[in-house]
Amino acid sequence: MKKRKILCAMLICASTLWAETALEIIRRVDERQHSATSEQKMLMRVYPSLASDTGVREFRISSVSRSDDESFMVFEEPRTIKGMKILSRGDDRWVHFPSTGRVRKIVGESKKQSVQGVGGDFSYEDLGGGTLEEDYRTRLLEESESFFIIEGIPVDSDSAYSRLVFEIEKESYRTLKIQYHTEKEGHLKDLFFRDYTVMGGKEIARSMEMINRHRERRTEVLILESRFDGPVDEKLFNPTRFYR
Amino acid sequence: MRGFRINCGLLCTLLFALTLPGRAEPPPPEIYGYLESGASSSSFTDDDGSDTWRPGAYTRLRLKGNWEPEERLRFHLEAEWIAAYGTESPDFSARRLGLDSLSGWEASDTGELRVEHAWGLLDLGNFDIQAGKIPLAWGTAYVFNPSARVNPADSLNPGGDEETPGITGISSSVYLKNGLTVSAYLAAEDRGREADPDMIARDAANIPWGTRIRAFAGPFDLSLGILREILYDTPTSSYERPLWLSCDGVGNLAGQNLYWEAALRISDPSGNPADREWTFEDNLELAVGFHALPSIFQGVEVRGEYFYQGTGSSRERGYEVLPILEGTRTVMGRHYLFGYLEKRFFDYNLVSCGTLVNAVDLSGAVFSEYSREITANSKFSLGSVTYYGSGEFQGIIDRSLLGTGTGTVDMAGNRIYADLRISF
Repeated sequence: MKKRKILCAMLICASTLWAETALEIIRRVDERQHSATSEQKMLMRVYPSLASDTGVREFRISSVSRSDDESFMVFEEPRTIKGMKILSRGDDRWVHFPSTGRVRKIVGESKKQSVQGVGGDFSYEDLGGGTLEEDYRTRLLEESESFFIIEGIPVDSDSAYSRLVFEIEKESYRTLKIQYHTEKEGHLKDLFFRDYTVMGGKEIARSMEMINRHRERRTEVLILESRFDGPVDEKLFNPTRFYR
Repeated sequence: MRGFRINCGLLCTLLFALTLPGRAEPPPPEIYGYLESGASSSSFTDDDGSDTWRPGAYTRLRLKGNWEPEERLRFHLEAEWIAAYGTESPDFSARRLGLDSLSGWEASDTGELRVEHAWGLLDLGNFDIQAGKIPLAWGTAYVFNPSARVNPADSLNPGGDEETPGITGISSSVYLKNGLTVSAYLAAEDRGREADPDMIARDAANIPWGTRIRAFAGPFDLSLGILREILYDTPTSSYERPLWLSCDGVGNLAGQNLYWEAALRISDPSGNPADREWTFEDNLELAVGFHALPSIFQGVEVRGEYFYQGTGSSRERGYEVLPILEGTRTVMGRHYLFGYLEKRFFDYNLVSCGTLVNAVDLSGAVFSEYSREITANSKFSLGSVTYYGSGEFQGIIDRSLLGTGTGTVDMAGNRIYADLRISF
């Protein structure tokens, strides 16, 4: 009986230590990625297949973010959706369609869709903000000389994903890859972070590539300009005026 | 013709303004828009009971311009030119109804360039003001917007993907703390855009206005407002000025988008306080709906909406067609159901179908469309509109009700269409 208690205590201690380690790593990643504000100009390329470089569609997007879970995006190209604006605050998203002048709130299941008029492999949820620590329950799956492999289970029960797997560079706490898993499709997408460069005074991945294993195609995002911790316009984060 | 000249003059002035250099390296003015061209065939029942298919075609150019001379000052312009022929031309419908024999009706605007939006927006921090020909799109519902009472009604636009018409006026918002926003507008045109330009000079009571307060309560966005609608009655050249209370909301319940929008007419048509015959059910308009992406439907988006129109009639004999033709009412009955399914294939192919049903006489319309984004800036659509039932959506109109003749005419022709839109 005594041995069993000791064994239980050891297991609890071990699991606690592991959870803390994963949490610490995720906090370091969050700290590394965190900025009070950020402004970016991006080029998104949606490729029709994994192999082909023809038939690519390009989207130019300007974005402004604040305090991890607030972001504002406006599409500059293509002309069909020019001026479409998306505000994300926590789990809520508002989309302004310039043709109708109306704002639609996107909640619940709808946020799992890919962004309207864009296609590609980034959903409204993928484009939303938030910290890894707040959004996922994490656990260290594997540790090698160079990498941590951490599993994240979304805290939000409405999430499109059942779990994410983060590959993090040990030395720098750079995120190198995220696997997206769903209940239905299993291992659905891989997001690769490449070309880490100092832009706007902060080291960021200049190139991100989402590979959709289920649909066998990819979407690439290139960061063209970045600015961090500068003043941003308050109105961009107000649902009643971000489109004015 | 006078209106055309004024519009052209205004457009030239604004285009000239767009080319003026700014003071502190503002972003350059930009012009963009789209060209859309389409063809259709519509089947109408003739007097002898036979169905005849008739062709129609149109070309539509929408020009848009943006200019930001300063950080807090923005101008926007939208002008439209349409050339429509056959069944797509307003002349076709007007002639069938005999409306061109009525004074006060302008049957056709084919081939004219119209300024739809032309406004400036001054942003002063927690206060902004927008003036010119502005789009006012109030409300949260998809198909019927009881609180949007400044624009001509368009009953056959269930997707709501067309531009909101502009109205000459001023709109302003004050942003208070905790997400509270107070907005207001004053306008100078009636809802159907039929009244004379001196409408507001004749009587200041003819000024359409509205104000609302918006807030966020947990997962819901809410708003509450009051507004004056101005309706012009063409045959009698008189005005109606009902006063409405409005409220709307949108939010998340059990992971689904839910919305509602209601307006309650609190005065009689003359604008005076409600008389003793006023009843809640006769003066309420309500739209309630949802938007969902059920996992069992494999990526099919589902929308549903119920619309109650207290000002409409619950009996076929009470249907009034004139407000529909004047653009002051969307439908004639009291209870409507709207259902819509949409599925995207391989990102750029969209198949959709929907139906709008008059729940009293069970007549309705079915909309179906396939569209493909051929390139990032071009889209091809192929679709149909089919009417069913023998009530409102059968579209049979008695000319004697309009005073334009005798007998009936079929105005709801089943329609197939194809169009191509190229954005630039």
